[in-house]
Amino acid sequence: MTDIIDIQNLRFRWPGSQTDTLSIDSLQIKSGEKVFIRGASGSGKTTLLNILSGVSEASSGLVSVLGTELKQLKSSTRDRFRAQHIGYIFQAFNLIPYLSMEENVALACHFSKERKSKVLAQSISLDAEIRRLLAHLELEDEVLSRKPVTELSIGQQQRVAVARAIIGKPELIIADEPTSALDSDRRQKFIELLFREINNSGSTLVFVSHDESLESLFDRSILLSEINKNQGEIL
Amino acid sequence: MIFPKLILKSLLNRRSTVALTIISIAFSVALLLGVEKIRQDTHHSFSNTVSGTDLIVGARTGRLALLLYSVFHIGNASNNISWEGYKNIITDSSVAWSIPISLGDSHRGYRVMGTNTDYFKFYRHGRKQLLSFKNGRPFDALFDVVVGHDVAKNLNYTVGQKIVLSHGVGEVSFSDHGDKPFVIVGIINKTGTPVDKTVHVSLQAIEAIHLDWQSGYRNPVQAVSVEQSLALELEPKTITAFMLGLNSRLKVFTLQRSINQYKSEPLLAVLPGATLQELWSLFGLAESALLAITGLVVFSGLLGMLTAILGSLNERRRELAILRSVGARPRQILMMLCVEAGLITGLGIFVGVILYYLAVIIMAPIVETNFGLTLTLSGLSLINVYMLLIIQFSGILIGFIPGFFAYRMTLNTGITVRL
Repeated sequence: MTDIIDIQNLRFRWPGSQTDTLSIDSLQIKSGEKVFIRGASGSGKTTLLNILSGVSEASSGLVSVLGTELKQLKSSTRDRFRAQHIGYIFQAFNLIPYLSMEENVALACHFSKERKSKVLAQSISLDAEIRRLLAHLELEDEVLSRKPVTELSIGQQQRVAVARAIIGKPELIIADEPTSALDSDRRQKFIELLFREINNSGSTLVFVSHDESLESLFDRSILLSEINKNQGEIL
Repeated sequence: MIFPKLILKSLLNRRSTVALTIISIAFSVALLLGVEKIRQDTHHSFSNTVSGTDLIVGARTGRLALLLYSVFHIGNASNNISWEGYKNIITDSSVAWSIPISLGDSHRGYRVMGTNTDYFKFYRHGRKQLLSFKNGRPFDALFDVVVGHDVAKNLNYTVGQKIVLSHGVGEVSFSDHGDKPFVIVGIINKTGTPVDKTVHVSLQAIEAIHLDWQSGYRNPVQAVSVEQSLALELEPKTITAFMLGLNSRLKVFTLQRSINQYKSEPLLAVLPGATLQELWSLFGLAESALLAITGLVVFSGLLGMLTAILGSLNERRRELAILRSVGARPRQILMMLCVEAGLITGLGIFVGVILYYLAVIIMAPIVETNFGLTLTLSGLSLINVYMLLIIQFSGILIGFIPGFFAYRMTLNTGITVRL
């Protein structure tokens, strides 16, 4: 299997700072893997996710996603690259409050033609695919879809976020502590649903959390403090 | 494109703040247009009054004072000029027509103006229009009177009604010319000039009502009856001022010089248009101050918008991060905020213009009765359009401030927003 993420000698330092925030010599994630990255807050987690999604740029070293070296891309091309290839799930408040559930999911397709055409290649319309996905994630309720998204439960909101991340089958899904706002029962259920969707789409999952109890569910677990040599000096 | 929808929905989501911002901009825009309107209409109404007159001649005094008391009936003449002097000057070959004016009496607060029938033949206002009659005809007999539109309307006068003139120009007079009542023979159509507020009689009538008056009060011993005065051959001894129309505008300055150097008595001839310019330069400072204040009101309206958008940014950090995560570029987010500001400003201007027209329609009668200024309902002038464009442009420009904050926010904090 090919590496979907390949990091070598990555250094990241905030402008004006004396020390590196992130210093990773080597990290590879294979295509189709479900990887758990464990890190406490302040371990460079945020910075790593920003770099992987192409929002921030490494100060030095190689970061390649899907065989594309992110540093080679212009920032606007990186934005398009992210729209096309990466689905992102936040810790909480994943939804734009003034858009409906469906509109929130559709958002991912509005910034990438490729992703939209991928959806249309498999489904009759964008709406149909959104409805199918939401039904799959147990969100097909008529009452739910008429509610403002701010009135959905946190669990429901997180599932809508999964639908948005997964629509159009992007190669890489990054989840940033998506379960931290859920109680333990729902956490398990959420992970199951997430895995099911990931398996369906064949995407790679990078799941970041500080919650060790979830670790065993994943193919591989990486402790960020072990690979980031500078983590002690950030705080 | 998803952005128009995002912007609209986002604005609707914050509709109460947005509506308040729009209203505050709308009020400032309406105020600006209103102030500009009053300025233009004042200028208009003044220049309309003297549109057809080449020279105004009176006793020597300030140029502005002469123009104001003779034509606009503001203030009083310091001195009269002799009938002989008037007769003499109008014999000049360049004079096409003349209108003598004799002021000093009033009728229930409205000025009485003694003149002759040339007034109805030659006096022009607005776009060089002659006076026209709503009812009746010019005065003919000694005790005929022609009233302006507002006089008839406000006092409910009709042709055929009898009225009594008063001595002096106060609102309430204690010395009436009660022995010599006048008959209304004509009502002049609305002109939007002081003519509307004037009671017109013949010069002879002015003489007749003062026949038995000495030094400002009526001498009953020398009382002259209506019948007696009708029999008399009346010729005025003095008049207050007169208007001149010339054959050729080229001769205006020559005649003006010769009148100003008139040997027998101290006279002053002024060009109404040029003298009005003096008035405007006098008003100019106050007008600029007013306009500047209004401009500041508009500016504060725009600042209010800036505050509202900047204030919303903090709670929208999430929203912006989500947009970034699905691939929105920082530049697109900057544009989104600029468009938002532009849209709020545009709506504010739109509502402001509606508000302004409503105000003009509602206020016009009130302004007219209280200040004698006719507010005309007209399209936006080029200056108005420029003003509105400047406001619109400033609104978009101001949008760059929150836009830039959001731009930096999305670049620096990236996708992950700390909760």
